[in-house]
Amino acid sequence: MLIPVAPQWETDVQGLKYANPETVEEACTLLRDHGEDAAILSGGQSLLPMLRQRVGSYDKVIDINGLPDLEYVRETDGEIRIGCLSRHVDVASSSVVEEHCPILADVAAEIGDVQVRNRGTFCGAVAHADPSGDPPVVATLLDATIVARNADEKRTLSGSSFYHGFYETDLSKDELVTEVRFPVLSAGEGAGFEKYEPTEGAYPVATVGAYLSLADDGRIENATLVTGALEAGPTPMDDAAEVLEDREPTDDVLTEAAEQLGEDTMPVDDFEGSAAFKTNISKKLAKDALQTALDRAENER
Amino acid sequence: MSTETKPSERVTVETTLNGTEVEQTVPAGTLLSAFLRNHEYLTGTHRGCETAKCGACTVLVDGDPVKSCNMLAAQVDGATVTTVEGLADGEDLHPVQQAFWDCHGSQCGYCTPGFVTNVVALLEDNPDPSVEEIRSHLTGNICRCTGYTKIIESVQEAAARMDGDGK
Ligand SMILES: Cc1cc2nc3c(=O)[nH]c(=O)nc-3n(C[C@H](O)[C@H](O)[C@H](O)COP(=O)(O)OP(=O)(O)OC[C@H]3O[C@@H](n4cnc5c(N)ncnc54)[C@H](O)[C@@H]3O)c2cc1C
Ligand code: FES
Ligand code: FES
Repeated sequence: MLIPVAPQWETDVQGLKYANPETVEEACTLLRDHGEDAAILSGGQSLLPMLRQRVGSYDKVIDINGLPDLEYVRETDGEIRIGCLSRHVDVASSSVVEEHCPILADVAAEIGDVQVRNRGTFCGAVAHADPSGDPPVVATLLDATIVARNADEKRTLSGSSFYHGFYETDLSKDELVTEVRFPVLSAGEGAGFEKYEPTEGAYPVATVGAYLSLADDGRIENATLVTGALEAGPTPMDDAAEVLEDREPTDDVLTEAAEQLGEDTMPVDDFEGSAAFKTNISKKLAKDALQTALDRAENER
Repeated sequence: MSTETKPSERVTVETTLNGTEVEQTVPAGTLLSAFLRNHEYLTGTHRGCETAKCGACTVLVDGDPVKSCNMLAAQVDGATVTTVEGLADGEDLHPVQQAFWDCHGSQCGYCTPGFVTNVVALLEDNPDPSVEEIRSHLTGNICRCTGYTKIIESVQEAAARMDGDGK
């Protein structure tokens, strides 16, 4: 059969080496031996575009999709535990998430498009730390616990201090994230997430996550606000959150906090919008996210 | 494929492709879209953007729509892959293909294989989707010809013909 075959350089990642370990131990050994020039392949929805564009210095991938027992979303000891092979679709459709921490489903259901959500993993997005990524915002907001392993040890990292700007986290090159845990939100707690994307399915230009807990008298006890995509990754907005503390959750108070967030955020002008536009958008997102958080806190979840 | 405990430059991919078992050893960096087109000669799967943005390369892996330009061929080892070529039953088009034909859901046809495969998966999960649901399911597929109206009509027509029984 004489069929023209496209030259390799056109469609392939030249010279790539591939390994698919069968156990977590094997994966960690590979990361120890090749960590400097090896990338973890989980959902591949961020890695494949990078490999094709030759961003990054790796020539090896370690495919973790064959590792056993890492695909789950379950509630254990007051936490929602997400295994590193659970996809965005799994988080979006989980009944445990819906009941105990619906903000995670809000986030997962709006990532990219259905093809991306079928492959991309929630933990992979937390680890990858794309500055426009949505899971990092909620990992910071709810102070998720990130469980990481290397060949020698297992450790847990705190989501609220995990991110350090563009693609930078507390993880080292030889570590595999096996699980991310989120708190079960109980009575009087609520969280909301809003994003602005230029077209549906695209990466967001601005995101805001809001968390509130209410005291018995209905006043706001604790508040957290975190933006994403506006600066170099998840950015806690402490002054705006402080506006809320110990106040009645009236519409005016929520608006005041949202305005403060707009004052404090520092987006840059780029092709997706001017800084002024993004600032305006962030106020609206903050107000809506706070309203959802409040509604959920008042509805006891 | 045996598992590679050492990173290796060639991988053997064994997969059930459109109902047939295939086995090929290819360079590890081969994208699934390139595997299908250049190694299996199934050119129905189109390459549009190759940056995971247009959906022209959509195929079903274990029944789920994915962008084949954004996966390595090595990742479908042991999986079932369905491309647009695997949908028809001999000379009889799949109801989704027939509906695209009848309702003019396809013009130049470049995007069509991606839409059709994605719609097959949609109707399997949701036999009677609303226009809203159809639109939201198809956000990852771009068409520069039809303006989408005819595509939506094709999906509704296919859903009506399949009458909820997935065939
Ligand atoms: C068209 C398109 C639109 C998208 N839109 C959005 C969006 O709106 N919002 C959003 O948040 N994301 C979006 N994404 C990205 C998507 O969420 C990815 O799934 C996610 O960023 C990475 O997860 P992954 O499992 O695909 O990781 P991969 O691409 O497999 O991995 C990327 C990198 O993350 C690290 N990593 C992954 N898993 C682990 C692990 N278990 N342990 C340690 N490190 C790990 C590694 O460094 C790895 O190389 C989009 C992607 C595409 C293609
Ligand atoms: S070619 Fe794969 S999404 Fe465009
Ligand atoms: S029919 Fe031409 S791009 Fe869709």
